[in-house]
Amino acid sequence: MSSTSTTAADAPHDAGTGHGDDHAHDVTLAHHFESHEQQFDAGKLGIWVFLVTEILFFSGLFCAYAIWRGLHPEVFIYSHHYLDTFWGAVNTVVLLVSSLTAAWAVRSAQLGDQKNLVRNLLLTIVCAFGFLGIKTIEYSAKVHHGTLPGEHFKPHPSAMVLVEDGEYIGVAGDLARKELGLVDPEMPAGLTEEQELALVEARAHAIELYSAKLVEQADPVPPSVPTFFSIYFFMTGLHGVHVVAGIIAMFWLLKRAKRGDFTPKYFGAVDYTALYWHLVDLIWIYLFPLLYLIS
Amino acid sequence: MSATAAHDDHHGLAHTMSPKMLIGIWAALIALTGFTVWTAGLHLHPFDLVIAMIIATVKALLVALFFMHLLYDRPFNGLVFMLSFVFAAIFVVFSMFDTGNNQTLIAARSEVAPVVEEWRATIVEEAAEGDMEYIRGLVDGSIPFEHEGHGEAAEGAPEGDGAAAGH
Repeated sequence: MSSTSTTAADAPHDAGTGHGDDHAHDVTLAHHFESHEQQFDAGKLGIWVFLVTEILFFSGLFCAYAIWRGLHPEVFIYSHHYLDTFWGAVNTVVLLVSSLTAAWAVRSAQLGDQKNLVRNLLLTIVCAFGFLGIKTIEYSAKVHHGTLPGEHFKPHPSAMVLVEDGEYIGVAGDLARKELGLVDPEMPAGLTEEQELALVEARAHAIELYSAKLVEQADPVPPSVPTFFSIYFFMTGLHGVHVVAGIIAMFWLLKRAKRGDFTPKYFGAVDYTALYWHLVDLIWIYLFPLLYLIS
Repeated sequence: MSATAAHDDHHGLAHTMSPKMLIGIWAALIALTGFTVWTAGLHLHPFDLVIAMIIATVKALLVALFFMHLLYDRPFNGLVFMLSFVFAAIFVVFSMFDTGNNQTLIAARSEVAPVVEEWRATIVEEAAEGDMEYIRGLVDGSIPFEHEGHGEAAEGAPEGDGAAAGH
C-alpha cells in the first residue's frame, strides 16, 4: 500500500518493488504496521475519532432542536401532526434490520465466510435503499402538501392540521371529505372521460374550499411552524445524506468482498463501515421519538 | 473487561458476536421501538419526552455495546466515543441555559422599555421647561418616577417635596 514508509534499513532491498522488508510479504499488511493487530487497532481508533466528529456535527442540529422546542413547545405539538408516525416507525425497523445485517457482515468477515459477507452486505444495501424510498414517500407528501421549511411553508388548506381549544381534531382535508360525503366517492355511470375528469376536479376544489372554512374556524396556526419544518428537513436531510454515503461505502465493500479481499486477519474496512452504519442508526433512534412521537 | 468477557469468542483481531446475541439484541431493539410508540400514544405529558429519551438511550446503548462491540472493544475507544457525548451535552445544555437566561432578560427588557422611554421623555420635557430641580430629583431618585401617573407627577413635582411626587 504505502511504500514510502519503509525504514532506512529496508531501503537497499526495496529499490524495485517497494516490498522488500524482512517478513514474508503480505499484501494485506501495510508496511508501516508491525502486525495485523496493530493495523486493525490503528484503523479502529481512527474510525472512532471520525464518529466523534459526526456526533459533534449532528449536535449542532440537536442543539437547535432543544432550544427551539424549549421556547416553543406548542409549535412542536402542533407540527408533529404533519408527520406520519407509521412511516417513521417502519423506517426505524428498516434501519434496525440493516444494523443487524451490518453487524452480521462483520461476523462473517471475521470468520472468513465470504458467501455470507456478500449476502449480508447486499441485505444492508437493500435496507438502506428501502429507508431512502420511504423517506422519498414522506418528502414528496410534504412537497405535495406545501409543508416545506421557512418561507416555502405554504400548506394547502386541505393539508392543514386543525386544533380547536388546544385539542387536535384532524387534518382539514379528511374532515372536509367526511362532511361533504366524499370519502371514496363513487363515479356516476355514463359519464364521458372528460366529464369524469371535470367531476374529480370539481370535488377536489370543493374539498379545498371547505377545508379553508374549517381552517378559519380552528385555532390560528402557531407562529414559527415553518421553523419546525426547517429543523425537520435539516435533521432528516443530513441523516439521509449519511445513509447515501453509507450505501456508497457498502457498494465499495461489496466489490472488494466479491474479489475476496477480506480475511479473518484483514477485515478492518468491513468493521469500520459497519461502525459508521450503526452510528447512522443510532442517530435515527433519537430522531424518531424527537420528531414523530411528540404528544 | 475485554480480556475476560470476550475470551471465548475471540477469533484473532476482535470479538465475534454469536448469531444468538445478534438476533437477541435486534429483537430487543424492535421491541423497544414498539414500546416507545406505545408509550407516546398514552400522552403522559409532561413525562412523555423523558420516557421517550430513556427508551432511546437504552436502544442506543444496546447498539453501541453490542452491534458496535464497545463492550468487548479496547476501553480507550469507548472513552473516546463517550467524550463526544459529554461535549455534545455541554454544548446543548449550556446553550439552553444561556437562552433561558436571555429569555428572562428579553422579556424584562421589553416590559421595561416603554417605562424607560417615558422616563426619558419626561426629563426632556422638564428640561425644556427649565425645571432643573425636578430633573435632578428624578436622576438621583429622590423623586420617584411613576410612569402611569406621569401627568400628575409632573404637575406635583415642581412643589419639590417627596409627598407630592410619591403617590
